[in-house]
Amino acid sequence: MRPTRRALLVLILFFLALAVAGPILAGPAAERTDVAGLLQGPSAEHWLGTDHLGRDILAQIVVASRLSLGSAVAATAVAAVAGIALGGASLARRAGPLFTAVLNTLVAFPSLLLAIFFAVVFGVGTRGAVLAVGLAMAPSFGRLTQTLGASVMASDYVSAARLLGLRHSRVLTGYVLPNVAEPLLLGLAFAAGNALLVMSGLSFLGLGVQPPDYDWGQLLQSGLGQIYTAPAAALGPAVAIMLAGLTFSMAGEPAERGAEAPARLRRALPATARDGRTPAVPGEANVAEARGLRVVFPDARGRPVTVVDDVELCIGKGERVGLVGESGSGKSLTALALAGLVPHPGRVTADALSVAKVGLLDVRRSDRDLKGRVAMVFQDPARAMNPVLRVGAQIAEASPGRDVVEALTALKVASPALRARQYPHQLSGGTLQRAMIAMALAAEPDLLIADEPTTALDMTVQQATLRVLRDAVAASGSALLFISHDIAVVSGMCERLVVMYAGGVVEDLPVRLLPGGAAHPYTAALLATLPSLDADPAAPLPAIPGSPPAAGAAGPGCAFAPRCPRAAERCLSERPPLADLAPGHRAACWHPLEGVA
Amino acid sequence: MMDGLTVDDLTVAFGHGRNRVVAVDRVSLAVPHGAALGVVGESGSGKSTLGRAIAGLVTPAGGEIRLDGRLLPPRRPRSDLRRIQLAFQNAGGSLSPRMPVARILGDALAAAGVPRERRGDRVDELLDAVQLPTILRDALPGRLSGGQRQRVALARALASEPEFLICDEVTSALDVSARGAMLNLLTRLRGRYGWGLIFISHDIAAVRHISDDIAVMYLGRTLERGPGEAVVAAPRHPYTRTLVEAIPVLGRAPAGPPDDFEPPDPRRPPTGCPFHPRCPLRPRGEPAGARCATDEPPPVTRDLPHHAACHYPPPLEHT
Amino acid sequence: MSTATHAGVSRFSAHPRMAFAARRSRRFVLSLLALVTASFAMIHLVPGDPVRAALGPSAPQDLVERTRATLGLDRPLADQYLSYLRGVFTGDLGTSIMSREPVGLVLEQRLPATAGLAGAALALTLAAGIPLGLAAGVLGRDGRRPRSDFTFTVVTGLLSALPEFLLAVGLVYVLAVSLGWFPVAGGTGPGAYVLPVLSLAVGPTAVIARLMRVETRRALREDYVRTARSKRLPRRVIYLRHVLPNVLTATLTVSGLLLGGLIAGTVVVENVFAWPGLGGAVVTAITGKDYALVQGFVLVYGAAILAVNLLVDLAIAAIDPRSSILER
Repeated sequence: MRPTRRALLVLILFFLALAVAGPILAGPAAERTDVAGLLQGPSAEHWLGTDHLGRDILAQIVVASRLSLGSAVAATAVAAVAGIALGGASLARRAGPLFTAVLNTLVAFPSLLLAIFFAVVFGVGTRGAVLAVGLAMAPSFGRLTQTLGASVMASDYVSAARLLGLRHSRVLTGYVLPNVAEPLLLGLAFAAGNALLVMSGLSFLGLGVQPPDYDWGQLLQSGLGQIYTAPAAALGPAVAIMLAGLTFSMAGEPAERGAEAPARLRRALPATARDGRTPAVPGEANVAEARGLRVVFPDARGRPVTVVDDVELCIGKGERVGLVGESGSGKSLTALALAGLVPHPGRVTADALSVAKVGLLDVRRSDRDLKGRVAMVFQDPARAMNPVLRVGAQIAEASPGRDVVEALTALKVASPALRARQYPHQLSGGTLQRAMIAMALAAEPDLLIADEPTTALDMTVQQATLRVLRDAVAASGSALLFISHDIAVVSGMCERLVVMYAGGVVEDLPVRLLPGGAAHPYTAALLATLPSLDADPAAPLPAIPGSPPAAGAAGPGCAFAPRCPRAAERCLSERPPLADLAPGHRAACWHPLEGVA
Repeated sequence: MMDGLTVDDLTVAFGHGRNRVVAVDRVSLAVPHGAALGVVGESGSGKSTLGRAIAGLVTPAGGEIRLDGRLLPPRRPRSDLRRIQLAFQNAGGSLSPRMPVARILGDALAAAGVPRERRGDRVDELLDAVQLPTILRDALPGRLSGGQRQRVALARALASEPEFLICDEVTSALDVSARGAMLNLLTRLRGRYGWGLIFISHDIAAVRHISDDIAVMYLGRTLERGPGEAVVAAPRHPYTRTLVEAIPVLGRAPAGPPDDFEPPDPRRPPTGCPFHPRCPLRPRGEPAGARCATDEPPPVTRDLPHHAACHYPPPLEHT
Repeated sequence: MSTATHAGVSRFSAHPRMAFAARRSRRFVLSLLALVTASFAMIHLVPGDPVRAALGPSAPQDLVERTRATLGLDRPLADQYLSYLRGVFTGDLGTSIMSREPVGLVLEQRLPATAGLAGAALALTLAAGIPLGLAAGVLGRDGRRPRSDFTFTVVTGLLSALPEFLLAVGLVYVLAVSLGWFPVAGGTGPGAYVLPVLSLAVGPTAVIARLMRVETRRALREDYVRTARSKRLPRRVIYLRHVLPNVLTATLTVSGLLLGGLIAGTVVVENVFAWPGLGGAVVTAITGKDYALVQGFVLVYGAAILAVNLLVDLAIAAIDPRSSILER
């Protein structure tokens, strides 16, 4: 957006220069009447033709720029002063709400109508019109000031500045103003564009600038009368108004809310199963299978970043598997890949990827094939549920015909019939998450994936929710893939644990081997950071120095090597494969720990 | 106790009429210089509001806050504001987006009276103390990671050379493996600079590690207050026990009743003991729960060694 | 984490929309009262003597005095205000100085034409803008069809920034003058509606289409759409049942202002096309200082704006169950 904005600013300067120099340069030409050449069309001598008195139209437009732009700027100044005063007053402690109510009512009225109202009071003519337009635009400027002011005043950085003991003036100039200035300036530019349009409209109606003065609006009005004979007389001023108005408005337009979709992948990925090679046949007993799973996202410049790197994960029928990792481990994306829900612009490739025997990379597969195979429960139930639909309706969507109240009762929701009729915002976090679990299990999936289902809930609610999730999954016979950053929680819910780090699997072991049987140093380190209520408070807490590598930034060797106390030469240069240490226990490490089961 | 920070009967309320919420309800506590108090609670407990009120950002509706016996008025003078610093829960939001790190710290140093010539060196010292590389001096907050912003906010608090530091959920947004490092850093800095600490968190294990005393909050009230070890190992309030039991244990399946429950509406708290609708404790000898629903247990004071706001606390265990 | 009220849950959830409607209607009435007061105050804010200004500097003094007495302008302010209020309620809005007709009659004669024009433009705006924007949002999601998407953005951006009078001039030139398809002024029958309605509707349609596109894109990235996909619902259901209601809320919020602007636009458009509505008479009333008539216009336009905003707020409350809980 930067270069466009710069171009616009240059245009603005051009217009302002025109306003200043225009009448001087084109004045004489605009006044010269040419009795011989009345109402002529465009010609070499008069680029836009002449009006009914033989005056050059283009010259008139240039001359009129001063009055049009000048009155627009003046009206903007009036709007800014009145608006900032009004907005500031609405932020005051006592009288604030009254001013806010007034502001809210006034903002509903369009500028043109308010301008006409004030034009009655101030009278027609340039001065009256400037005041009228300025006051008409004050409410929206006041609203902008109020919104900006309120958000900045409530911000933590202003509170922090006050806490430092800074003088009030310093807080205003150093902390409030810089964060408010840019939006306000943009608002001014936008308002100037608006002012120009409203002002021109008033003059067009005959309520603004009065003859013998003329601005673009006036010219447009007189030009309209001759539109059949000399259209340029109307189109010229129209184009001028449009160009100038658009320039100011676009310069002041705030960046569009909701950023556009992220860049697409620029470079092609290496040939993979997606490109036509037959995917490996899924194993018979497996409910979910992933081999060589890779998920790639483009960075800001479109270059591929591998977020999930060569992951192998198999889940048997009815098995409960936990996926543990910290930020950047790729655990959530792995789960999404298994559910076929990796968002655009991510690309999924794998040697094998299937759920309940449905190949997820098969181009012929449709969404419907996965219905009833895999369902997901997400972290934040308040956002995962549609706020405008009733809870019961959303559950019913997952499995039409299934009794919603019964589904909620199975999750031990109190007053299930009432809850089904309510909207998501009326349920507390814990209850809403139960509803989400009910919704996921309603379709009787072969695999239920729960991604940090209790992380957003209060501690005392977590245990109950986890318990009811475990019971419900057991009752339905589905397999469970449970994802969390908390290894203790995962160990309580699952039989098998898969540990991920920096996009890859580092260990895959049965839960009963924990904690002593962990082979990978990262797993051991994670276990060491578990809070223990018996630990000596005087001793420092175990921590893993450093932080996980940024996505795709890991070096050639083991991703954990830079932080690993056991790292050696080989670890930094060669990536260890996921190797069997014992039946059902694999680790990706050159020097695994010798554990005790 | 005249020495240190004392809070008596502090009450903070928001809103009017039907929507009035008492966020902090007659809370009393004391933190001597150099000591650490942990404040534990879940969402809606009022612990963040308590922290902001003690720091002077929120005007209380009642009660007193004293520093070394001297009353701190609701509108504090600037010199007093500096004495109690706050590390905000959302560190990124507490850093002005258009100010580079060096200026953020420089402003804090300037307000603390450090002369201009010394500020550059002091900024480097502060960054060093919180283990941030000095090349971050010119970085804008937007370019830093969450953990780095947390440390910058901490460094800013230190720049004011406060007597007390309030940390509000400073570890919640960090990865599990990074939390230990942050807590160790806080302990080390406390030993070095000697300020008193009020550590607010929902993570009772972290609180226990870093605090001398722990206060447990629920619906704005302190339900228990006592030495950290004792509160966690032998809680005297059923709510504290629920919190301790909620900590996940390696290899243990989720226990406890699976029933759903409604969190209380802060605008209409339960009568009597605020915890009674959820209390698993069956009082001995009295008709079940009658007294708990009607009589409010007396608020936790700040002078008794280990006090719980419960009608039926177990006897104090002496170690 | 949201908390639900416990004991009062069923009572509250049954009637928050009613409570909201009641609160909002009360605000509407208060705003109407403020509007009447503003209309009354308008002529008293004009510097100088309104009667003298209306009759001209050469009118004899006793005519001025008599007219002043007829209009009741010699009575104390409070008296005038009360009788004005009474007049508004009974429908007696005074007499036009210029035409000597009752203001109420003038309004009554001209209102249908304006209402017809505004209504047609409004219907076109919603009927065209909403589907266009939704389609643009869906079809261009995730970077699909980037060139069409860009064209859409540019075209709607330009059209949404053009005021009605410029559009009117442009349309007149292209469709009436150059192509001769439609009449400019006068003319009866549906053909006469085309140019004025287009001039009024094109801008707001572009605004709504733009907004719908942005909001649809935003909604498509929300978690609840991911949930709907995980339920493997057909795409049509996702867009119409899940996305559309959420997107409409945002559009409706802007629609209030937009529709107000449309009503204001009728003033200009009626002047361009010599439409026999209210707008055609507004300018002459103002320049002729026919204050009683101008007051009448202020009341009608103002009440229309307030009514439109009330209807929009009620519509939002009907669609979005959360909005009625907000304190207004």
